[in-house]
Amino acid sequence: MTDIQTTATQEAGEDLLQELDDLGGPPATPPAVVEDPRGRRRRRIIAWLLVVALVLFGAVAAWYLLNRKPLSELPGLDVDKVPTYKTALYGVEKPLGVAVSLDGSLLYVTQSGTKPAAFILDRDGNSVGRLKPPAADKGYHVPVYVAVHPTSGDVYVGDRAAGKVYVYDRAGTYRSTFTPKDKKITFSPLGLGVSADGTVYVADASSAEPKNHRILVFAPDGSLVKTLGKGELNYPNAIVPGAQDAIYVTDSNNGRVVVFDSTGAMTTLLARGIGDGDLGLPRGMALDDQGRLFVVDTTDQQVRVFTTGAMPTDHPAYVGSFGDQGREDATFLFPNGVATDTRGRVYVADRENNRIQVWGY
Amino acid sequence: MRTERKVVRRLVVLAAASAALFIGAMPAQADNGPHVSTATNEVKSGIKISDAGQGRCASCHRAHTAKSAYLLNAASEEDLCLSCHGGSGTGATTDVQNGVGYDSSATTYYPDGKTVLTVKRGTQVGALRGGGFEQAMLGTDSATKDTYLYTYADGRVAYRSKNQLIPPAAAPKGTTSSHFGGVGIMWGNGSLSGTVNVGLDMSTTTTGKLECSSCHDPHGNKQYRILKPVPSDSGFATVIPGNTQPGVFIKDTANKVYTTTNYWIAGDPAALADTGTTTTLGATSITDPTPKATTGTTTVSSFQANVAAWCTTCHTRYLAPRSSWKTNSGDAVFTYRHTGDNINGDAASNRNCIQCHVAHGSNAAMPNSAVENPGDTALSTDSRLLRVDDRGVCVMCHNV
Repeated sequence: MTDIQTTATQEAGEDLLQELDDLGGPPATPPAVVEDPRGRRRRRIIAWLLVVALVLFGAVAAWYLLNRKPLSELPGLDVDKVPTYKTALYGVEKPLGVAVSLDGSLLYVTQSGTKPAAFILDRDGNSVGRLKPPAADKGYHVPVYVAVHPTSGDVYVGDRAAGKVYVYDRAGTYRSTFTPKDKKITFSPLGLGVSADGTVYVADASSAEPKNHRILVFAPDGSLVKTLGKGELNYPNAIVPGAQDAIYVTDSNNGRVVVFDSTGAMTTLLARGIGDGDLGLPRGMALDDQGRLFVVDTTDQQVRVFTTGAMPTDHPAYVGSFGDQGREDATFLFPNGVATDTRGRVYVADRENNRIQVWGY
Repeated sequence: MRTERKVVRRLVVLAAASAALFIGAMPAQADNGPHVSTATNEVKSGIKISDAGQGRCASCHRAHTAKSAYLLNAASEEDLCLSCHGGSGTGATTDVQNGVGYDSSATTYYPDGKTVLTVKRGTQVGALRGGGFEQAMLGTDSATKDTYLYTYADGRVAYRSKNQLIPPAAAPKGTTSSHFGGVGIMWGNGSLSGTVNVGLDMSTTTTGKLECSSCHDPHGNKQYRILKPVPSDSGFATVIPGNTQPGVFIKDTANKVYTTTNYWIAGDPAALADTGTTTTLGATSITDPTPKATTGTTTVSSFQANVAAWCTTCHTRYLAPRSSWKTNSGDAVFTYRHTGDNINGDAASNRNCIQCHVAHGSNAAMPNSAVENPGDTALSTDSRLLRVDDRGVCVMCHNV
């Protein structure tokens, strides 16, 4: 209470006593203070509000501690938005493929150009390891795309030159070479996908004839389950396993994104064109845990963002695009691979700028 | 009503622009790339535009929002081409940056340039015949040959070379010369002249720089190498008899596998093979090229001859007929010259540019430095696009 208010209250009390004196009544005594019921209710409401706020805050804090996501990704909030630029990680020449470890602390990046190799980077972009082919596999190696097993965290690297898929543990220690049971099956892998049950998807572009390009689906033991897209695809690049046993594929040279449902039927979801959300040369692709599909348009120098529908064959809704051609922050020069983590971050292999760009929500 | 009209107007403009792009981009299905299509580049009527275009244009072009000339959607033509055909390219089997060809399917195999085998390759990687711009996979240090005894009509005998072989290297190696990206001299360009002149200074030309499209037609011409009849800035304007347009038309197979095991010219399935005793076509699928290249009044049809004529549309004064080694050309620089012209009907001669040189880049080592270019005095380790270490290409044919 301010001095002015205090003085005014005292003056009002003295005036009241003076009035009683003037009426000849008993000696004046100060009136008893009666609590206002409205004030009590107000305080109760405030208290409840504080409790609710605390509970909410606790829930948000717990959600954040469990998910480590930005608050903009809180459940119930609008997911139809494009990420914003955060930073860039340097140190890799002409990065092509990128994948993230399950805990989001490591990046697996393939380097192309004249010194093809695969590296492990930490979140600051420091090289903390390499994904080396086994010593017995001499010759020329060109790692292209990388996939991470959704439960074990094993890292699968497709080597186009060797025609093999190498498997490493999270830290980059070589574990095995994924080999088809049928030795007659050979492939020259571009895109790779691994689902939680260990099914391995390989985009095979081993022939100069696109009519032979295909998606090979292998059981974990290497037996061929089915072949998809033969005669339909032209340099299939990224493979992303989705819900309901669907797999999304960037059919790169045909300029489209297709989905194969659990029966193997193919549906074109996105196609080449010059309208909003149309594609030029789609290469990398990733699906985040919010159902957002990120498609790298290599020659449009942008990443297109879509939201997938309830059914895999539902046409994704175009949300927007991010990036533009350039060498500055938040611009790309022939971006290629893309990966998302569970923390709302999007990693883009910005090939000709020799960096991995980090975007996020 | 006004809105509807506006929408219709926009659609009409869009349709017109799309049609213009489709027509402008008329491609041919040379190698099944994204920039080619079977429906066009042929003389026929009633081509259905939607079948011909199929939206392919948009992988490289933008009608209204292009980043560079020719409505390219990238500022760098080089980067655009290499995004499929470079070391980072995941949209083609040819990696011209590293001189690598990917193909693990059944591949025609020419062990000695004449034997045709079809095998299932055990590897996904082969070397490109033309080498690569930054690396190449030519076994420049492993070239071999056989010799045989040849008896001339007058009874003289001499050893000759045959079965020359340049195997692929195990992995790409850095190039020591490359035919790309520089703003230099177009060596030998111009007519024979008594005035010293080594060639055309590219910095004075309109393009100034050799790029992919200087030599190749990105929209295809139904031939595997999709070479332009007239390379940019070649200054070539000759209309070859029988042609209606100037230029040299290189017609090879529409679909061809580059990967072989011999990078000497005899191993090229699209080239005439000289075994020393017989001349055969390396592959049965090669169509006799027409229109045909020519010099003077002689017209021949081999792929090799056309390649020689094509290279010399820029490097004019290297086009030397037989006996040029003993005949003064009258040129102040290119006075006596190795035969570089097989366009004389002598198909067995086999001498032309790509006999000794690669088109893109070579990893040949030149430890024993030589003078780099005509008129130079300084020594250089530049390999001048030669296929074999040092000047080993000389020894591939000549027994010295």
